[in-house]
Amino acid sequence: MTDGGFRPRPAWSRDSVMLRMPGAISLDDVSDEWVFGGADGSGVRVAIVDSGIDADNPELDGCVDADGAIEFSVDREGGLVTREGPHDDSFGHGTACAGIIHSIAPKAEITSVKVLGPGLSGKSIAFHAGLDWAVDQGFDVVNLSLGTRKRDWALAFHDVCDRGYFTNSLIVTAANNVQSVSYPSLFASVVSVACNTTDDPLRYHANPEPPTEFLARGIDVPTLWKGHTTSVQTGNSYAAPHIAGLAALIRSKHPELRPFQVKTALWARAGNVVESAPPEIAGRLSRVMSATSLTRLRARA
Amino acid sequence: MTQSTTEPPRPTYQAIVQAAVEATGSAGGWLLAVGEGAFTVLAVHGHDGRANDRIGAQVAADGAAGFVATSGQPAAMQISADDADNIGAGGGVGTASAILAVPCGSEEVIGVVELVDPAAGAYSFDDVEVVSMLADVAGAAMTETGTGSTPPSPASLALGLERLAAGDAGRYAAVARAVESLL
Repeated sequence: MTDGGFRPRPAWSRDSVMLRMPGAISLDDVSDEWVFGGADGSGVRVAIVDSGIDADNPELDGCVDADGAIEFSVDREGGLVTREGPHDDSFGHGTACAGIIHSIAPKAEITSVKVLGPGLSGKSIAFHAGLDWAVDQGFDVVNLSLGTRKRDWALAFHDVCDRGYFTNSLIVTAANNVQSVSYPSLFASVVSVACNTTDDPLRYHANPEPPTEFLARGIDVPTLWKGHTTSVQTGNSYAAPHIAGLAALIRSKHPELRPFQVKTALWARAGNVVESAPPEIAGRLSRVMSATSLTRLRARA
Repeated sequence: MTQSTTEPPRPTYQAIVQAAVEATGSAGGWLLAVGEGAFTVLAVHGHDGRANDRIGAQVAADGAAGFVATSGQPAAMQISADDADNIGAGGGVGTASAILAVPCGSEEVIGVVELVDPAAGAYSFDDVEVVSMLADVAGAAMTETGTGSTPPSPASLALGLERLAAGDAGRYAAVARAVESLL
């Protein structure tokens, strides 16, 4: 047994009849309607591990659980400091991610896990502690628009990401913008995301060259920012929450799906996978998105 | 901010920052080394040359550069007029309308290249990519001079250079100048 309630179970070798899964669907059934139709994120809990979130931003419509927020930082002696309760965004990045996710999955509940604040030292400790906490809390989706290049932390992040994978937390990470290592975006247990060139927040692609698995909008993205301001941002940091929002839609409609199945559903409806569909449908969800989501997205555009 | 030295800018750092400024059409920029709780200014280019006075100065680890140093992710942003916290970025002169900050270092973030005010009004993803390449070179340069830890591998640098050359030869030339000054 490991920490966080994760208990490895034995693998069984039985005839497939014994392991039959009533109601299991085939890939042929995975249509836009089946994957996303009518979904709005209801019942889904999303953690954003970042610089904090301005929970009182009116554009977020109260979707942020301010009282459930938590902050991890490092004191002068290098010790980890944990503080529960409401906090603000130190930079604007976390609020930007929250705004993107909320625009796609408006009914999802968002919790801020603040690991980036003033100062430069000990951030990997705080980052790891924040992700570990989010996995322990069983969030359905965890957005990580940050990473660490420190190899010393690779194993620790690998362990917590695997634990999230097996305990049903889908971890969505921003890939590095250049060809250098960034953890945990290199791990198979996470969904790693980079930018595509679209200005459509709902259009995404499957990347044929892993470890980055999906490409979503991340260029000139209009975002919320700290202090109730707005900004226009570019980077993989903003592609990840688009996929996190879409994953929140899937998990709200199909809570029974495991992380690898959510990945599969995303892959099945990616723009470059749905080649035979008419252009207005291929890779887009607009035909089946909830009216609320569409209204918000149009307003944001 | 405190002035701390009269040491001239290292030519390599200066070449990297100049290449980044010119490749992106920025008004100015600087290279910052990550220190204990603050940045140290290693090189500055642009801003009417006034910013050279700042070489060796300690600057607060906040704003876009501070975020980049801690998150490991580049930041390219257009600044709204009411975001006063971004005043002083990118060389400490004036108010920026757009900022691009990119981390340096292969295994950990040891520095940040930060640019401001591109002629185009906003930084493109191509700008992010070319400055990321230059930041990799900066990371190698900082390692060579004992400021950092481990340089990027020649293979990863070559891969990035080939990608840039395929897409935009002009940008590749800027990177090549910086690499030449490093050798």
